[in-house]
Amino acid sequence: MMEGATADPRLEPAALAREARELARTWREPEGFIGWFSRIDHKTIGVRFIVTAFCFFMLAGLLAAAMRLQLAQPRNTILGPDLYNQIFTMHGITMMFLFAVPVVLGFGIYFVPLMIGARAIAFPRLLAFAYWMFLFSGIFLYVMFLLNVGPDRGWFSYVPLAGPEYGIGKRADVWAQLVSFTETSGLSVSVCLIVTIFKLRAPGMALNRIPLFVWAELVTAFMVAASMPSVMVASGTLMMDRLVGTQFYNQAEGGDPILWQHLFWFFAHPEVYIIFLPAQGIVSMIIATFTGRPVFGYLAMVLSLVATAFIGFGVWVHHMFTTGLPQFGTSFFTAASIMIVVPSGVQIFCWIATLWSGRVRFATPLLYALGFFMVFIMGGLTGVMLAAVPLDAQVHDTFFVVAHFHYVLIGGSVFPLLGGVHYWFPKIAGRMLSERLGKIAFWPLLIGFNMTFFPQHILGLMGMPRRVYTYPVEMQWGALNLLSSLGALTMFAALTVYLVNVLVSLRRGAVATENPWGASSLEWSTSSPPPPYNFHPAPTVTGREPLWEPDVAERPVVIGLSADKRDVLVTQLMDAEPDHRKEFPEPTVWPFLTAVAVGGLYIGSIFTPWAVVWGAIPTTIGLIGWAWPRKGNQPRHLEREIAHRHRAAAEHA
Amino acid sequence: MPSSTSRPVSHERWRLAAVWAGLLAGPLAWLTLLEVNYLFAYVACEVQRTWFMHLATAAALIVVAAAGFAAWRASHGDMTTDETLTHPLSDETRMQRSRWMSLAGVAFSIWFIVVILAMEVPIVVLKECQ
Amino acid sequence: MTPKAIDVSRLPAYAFGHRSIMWWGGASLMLMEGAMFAMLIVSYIYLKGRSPEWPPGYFAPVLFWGTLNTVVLLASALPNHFAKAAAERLDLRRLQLWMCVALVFGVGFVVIRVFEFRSLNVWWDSNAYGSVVWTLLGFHTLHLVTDVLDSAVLTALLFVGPLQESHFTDASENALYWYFVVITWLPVYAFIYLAPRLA
Repeated sequence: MMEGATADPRLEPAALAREARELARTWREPEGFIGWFSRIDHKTIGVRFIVTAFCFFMLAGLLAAAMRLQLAQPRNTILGPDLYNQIFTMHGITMMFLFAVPVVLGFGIYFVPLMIGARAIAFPRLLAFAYWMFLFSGIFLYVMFLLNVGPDRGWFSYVPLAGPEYGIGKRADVWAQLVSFTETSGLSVSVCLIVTIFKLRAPGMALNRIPLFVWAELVTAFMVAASMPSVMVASGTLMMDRLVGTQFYNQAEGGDPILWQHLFWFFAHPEVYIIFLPAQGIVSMIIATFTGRPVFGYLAMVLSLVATAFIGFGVWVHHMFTTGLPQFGTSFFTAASIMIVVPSGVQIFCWIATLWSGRVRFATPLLYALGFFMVFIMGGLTGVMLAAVPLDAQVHDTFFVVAHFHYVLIGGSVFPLLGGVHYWFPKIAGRMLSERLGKIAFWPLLIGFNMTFFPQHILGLMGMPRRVYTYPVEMQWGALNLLSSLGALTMFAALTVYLVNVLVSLRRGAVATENPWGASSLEWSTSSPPPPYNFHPAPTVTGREPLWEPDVAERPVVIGLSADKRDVLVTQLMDAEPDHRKEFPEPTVWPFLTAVAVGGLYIGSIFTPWAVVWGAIPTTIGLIGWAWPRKGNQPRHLEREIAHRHRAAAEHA
Repeated sequence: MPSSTSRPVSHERWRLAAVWAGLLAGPLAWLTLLEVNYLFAYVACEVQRTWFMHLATAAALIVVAAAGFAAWRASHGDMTTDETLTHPLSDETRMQRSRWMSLAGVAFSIWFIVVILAMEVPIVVLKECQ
Repeated sequence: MTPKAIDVSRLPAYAFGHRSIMWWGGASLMLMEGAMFAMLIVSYIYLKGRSPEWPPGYFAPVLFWGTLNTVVLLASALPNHFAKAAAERLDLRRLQLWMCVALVFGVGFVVIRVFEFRSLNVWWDSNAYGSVVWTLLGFHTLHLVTDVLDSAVLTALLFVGPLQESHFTDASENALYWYFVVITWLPVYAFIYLAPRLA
């Protein structure tokens, strides 16, 4: 048995304080104008992702408000059909690509290294690049929208409507390149997360001791890696059909529009689980903290996450039930779509068991978790209904589907996110959010949400189709639409209160301690907000709930990492035993410059295929500048090592 | 100094392989079966037979059951997942993790056997060219 | 009370293979790129299944250049293998040598690829068959070009310095990515050159 743990003079308080000062110097983020563009600390990037994503959430919310205003009455004239088409497309694109995925990845970026006891995230420059790509994609999309070139073919951009024959102008190209941008960003982040979670965990954090939120982010990152390539193929081939005359989706020349649907939905179904699983992880952390006990059934919880992810890759055809595919084939996807409910159900029962057997504190984060239960379960039930082909055939492309996915997305993701913001705000900002304002925002949000979307089930069953800018009086859909729009107004008000809470508390909230909630995971063992080097000394873990263990003060810590360079401990995958040390890169502006180059390439290629060729030049320069080491860093001991190996090889020869 | 599990000894290696197989065989066999049977559905309509689809299901079931069995055998005979506190670098830490992975492999295999059986239902109930 | 300590100061500052984070980064990249190749091949199979004749109204691509390139690609695995072994021994001179040899192969297969494009017997905008063949070949070519470019940059770095331990790990991982580019070629070759002849 390898002990290796002894009391050490480097752990005397004076020595620790001296090292902390040195660490602060080594790990500090650059200041100044260029410095702002050079930052690579995962906490900085995480906050940027989260804040930017919520800005897009607000923009998409305004678009939704516009739609609800237009639909509140029959034959309304606030928005014309062309603008309405752009608005519902922009709403969908913004929510799915610019809010939901970046925000859950953003929480992962900020909290995964902290929860696993690491000093940094793997490949921090790649992460910075990913943020700039995300930001540029959103700016690009909205500039085009303001220039009346916003995509208007739905967030899924079906061909042939978006193809060269019917998709006139550049709108569909904007869609395709937005996808390229955001997928590049998402794929980059997923690499960072996978490698961080596998290789940078604190000693002792074996696979069976990883926090549930970290498991959720790991599984999500794998889903991103396996699904986003499909939509990149889709958007790439769409661009080619439109720009250089390929015939992928032209039936007259051997192409097939159904291929688009397969490629798109093979990505887009896992996409919704990408959005949902991290939120489940947030719910787990919140429930554990506010019941004072670990989540019941850890193994079942982990396997549920993994099972949902895998099965999520086998259900995509349920978005295509009305395309004329043979029933014998689609029935497999019905079976899978029903089975995928079971792991989520298992998670819900585990959470209920946790609540049942714990001491519940009804703080605002827990309210959001409970709201999640109610809303998500309802959405899940309509999902099981939709999995049946005969039912789906009746309600496909009606508001019933709109109701379903808003229940699962808002219930399953937005509620946990809002709870997560409340829960983690003290750690990020060093201040507490107001509980009073939190509760004042929560209840109208829950009620307003149900007011907005429950009537839409009925509207769908009454036959109201999706994506229509208005409807006639005779259909008698007016009353329910008005109710829905009033609900939207209520949600808007509630979210405004939430925003006010955040803005006011940033300045005047109560100062937060290290662990205001008495939680058990490692992010709560460091200051609020954490120092740039996260932890000092670097922690180890001996169980699943580090801060709830009786021996917290006596748990071994890691010493021997250099404080004068960015020294990070790399551990072994299964049991997180220390393996080697790696020097992590310094901040640099090259990721930003490379993102500008790649962005230019993507945007230029909307107008001419040559942009790919010309844009490759600055991109290559950017990548070389990024990777090239700074002068004078060659370690002396490396020369000795090389010479030693050379001599040893010569002796053996 | 590299940890002892970064270069596993031969009996450790089979244990490791068995445990990972238990975790991955289920989903991979199921996804493969889904694709295969989806393609076979078109063939079945042409030849008015489905025996090859049942065969594919049976093959998938055997693969997953074998992997689950291997994961069970790899578990040192004791699959409790008691979470007791142990030193970060101790053998107990490794043992707990190993047992936990075995149990996970067994449970996952059982779950995917259920999912595969769910997929068999339409082949039994529906007719080929529906 | 001072806590106990686990002293990691004697651990090495670099590692090879799956112990290194670079390996995992490369593996993630291979997963993503592999998924893209898979989706393109699935598209090929799908479009072929929807077409009564394949290739529809065109000759299959000329076999010679593609097969020649397959040989060159497979042969390039050899200098690559030696480069990887040299990197893991920290043998700078040998590593520089074998990287240069590999680069010669690299330039070779990019040049041959140009001839491949010229002998596909179909244009990308002729029909869906042409589109998917050009896209498959083009996507693999993108990998070839970036592989050669980043190997060239790494080689330059090995000559110019300043050297760090991580560059030896990078060289080892670069070799793995090279193998990936060679291995992904095999199914792409089979679908572009052999599948049309099986019909």
